[in-house]
Amino acid sequence: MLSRSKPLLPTIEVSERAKVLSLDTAKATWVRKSRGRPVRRRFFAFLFVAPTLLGLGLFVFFPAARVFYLSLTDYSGLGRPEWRGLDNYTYLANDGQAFWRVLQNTALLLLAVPLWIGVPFLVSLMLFDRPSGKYIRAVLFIPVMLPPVIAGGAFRMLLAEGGLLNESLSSVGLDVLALPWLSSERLVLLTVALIIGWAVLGIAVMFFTSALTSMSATYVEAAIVDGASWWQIVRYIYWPAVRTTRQFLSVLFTIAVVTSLFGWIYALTQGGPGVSSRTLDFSVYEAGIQTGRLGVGSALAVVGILLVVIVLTLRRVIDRGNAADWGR
Amino acid sequence: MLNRTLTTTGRRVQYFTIGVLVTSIIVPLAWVLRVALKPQDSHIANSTGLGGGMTTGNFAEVWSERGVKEALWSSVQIVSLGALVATLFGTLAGYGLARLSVPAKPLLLVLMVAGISVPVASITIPLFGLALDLGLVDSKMGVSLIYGSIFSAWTTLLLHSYMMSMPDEVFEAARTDGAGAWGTFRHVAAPMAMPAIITSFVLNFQFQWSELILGLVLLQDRDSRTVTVTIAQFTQQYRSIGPPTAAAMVIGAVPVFSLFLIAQRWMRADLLAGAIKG
Repeated sequence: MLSRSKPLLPTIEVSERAKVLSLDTAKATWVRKSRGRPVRRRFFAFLFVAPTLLGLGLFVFFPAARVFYLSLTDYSGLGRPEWRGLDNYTYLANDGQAFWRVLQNTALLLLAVPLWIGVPFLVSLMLFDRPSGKYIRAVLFIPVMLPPVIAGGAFRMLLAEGGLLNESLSSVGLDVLALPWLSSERLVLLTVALIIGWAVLGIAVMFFTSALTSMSATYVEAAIVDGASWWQIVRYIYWPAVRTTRQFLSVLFTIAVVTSLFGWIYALTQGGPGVSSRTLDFSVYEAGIQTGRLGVGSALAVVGILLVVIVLTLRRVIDRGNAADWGR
Repeated sequence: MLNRTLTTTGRRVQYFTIGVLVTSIIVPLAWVLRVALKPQDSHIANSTGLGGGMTTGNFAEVWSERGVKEALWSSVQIVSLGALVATLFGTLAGYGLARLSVPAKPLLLVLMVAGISVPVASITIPLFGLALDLGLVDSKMGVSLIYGSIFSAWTTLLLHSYMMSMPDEVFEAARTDGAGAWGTFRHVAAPMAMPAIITSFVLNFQFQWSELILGLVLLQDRDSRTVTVTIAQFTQQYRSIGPPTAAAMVIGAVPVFSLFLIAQRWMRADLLAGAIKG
């Protein structure tokens, strides 16, 4: 093999050398060729991806396809699905299972996404260049570690009509703030939005902090010397600088509204009062599992999938629009 | 440095905001703990009082009589295996897609994105049907496999992004030394990507521990129920949530919490942020 007293590359004939090494002209060195013929190499490489693909195929893609089929049937779990064509969708369109209210709830919750991004951004600014920031961020991260059903249950206890929050507010004379957080049809979605904001604050702060600390301080220093105010610096330097983080969180949270609120709603409100906080995934559970109408549940499930696709496509369109505006 | 530009009011607003946020986190958690330690009659008599004595009776009750012991054990079994599967599959796939000549890479990456875009609630009904057909209802192993598969998609994307951002020279050096795909993975890629791998495991654990809808549908037997399913059922059993449920909630939160604390040393927050760019 190679030894230091000899020249760096063994002195074998070039043709011999070329059998095992190829010349990387850019780096002016010899690089060992990958072993085996291309087809064998690609097959072997594919093996690394195979388990994931198999698992996804069997437990995600196949069921996703099947749910489209089931949505066109009447199915109770026992026996065979009976073909019904578009009946389930007609039923939903006629406000079966409070369909339109459910969509409205989803839309309203989506309005909260900017809040779930904006507030953590401001909080990150407060903490990122403070030495105590690290500890405060650790505390802020605690809700992230809690399973939704547990945190949801905790808030249900706290925010009940005779619960700790309202009792405490009353006892200091702030009766006017002791609102029916979870039992008012008009307030419940706001309450849910605030609680979820509470739960995701820690992650968003983490991402923003990472982006903020990796920025160079030169512009900010110059701006301060020029007498810029806090608001000006934030608006014209920091806000644009965290654009990728903002976009990432926007996609993440938007998808989460459609796909990940089940645990929260189950523990906090069960979709209530009435249907005023019922989300799409809770609807699937309610219609499908609770009432045994798996065909209708499947139709709702399909709507869920389509909603995610729509949201992701819209996001790409918006991103491309933004990129064009900035001349990239 | 930004703080120099703050006015006195601005400073006060900041302290106030941070104070409110920290309080909003500590109070609910402390309250749940307090209620869990309250004797049930005290709680019924005065549900918002801080006093009323202390007892560990609620914990004992839910542990031995209400099935929390079995549920906790089920959760640990199911989620440990499921998180392991998801992390293992995802790391292998991420490495393959980042560093090997896998055919149709762009298509496969799109499939991974599709994998994380399908809502779990949307596939719950067919998965229930599938489980019925395969005899996997109440099967802890089956649920582990399902969880592992579902969550391997995002793990793949994370590890793919991370490994793409690792220096090429390291891999070339491995190749020059004669290492094949597996050898490079074992000796170079995996060790270097350990922060990402550990972070994925911890997050997979948290996601799967918290998973509710599939658990509610696929695990109905008391011996195979997860602790989150059990807690969910407790919250629906009575009009208001009392000390026993609070005790169950504390028990259910401890494992994930502990894992996060233990893994702190190896996890890196910025790696997640860096992976977003990819």
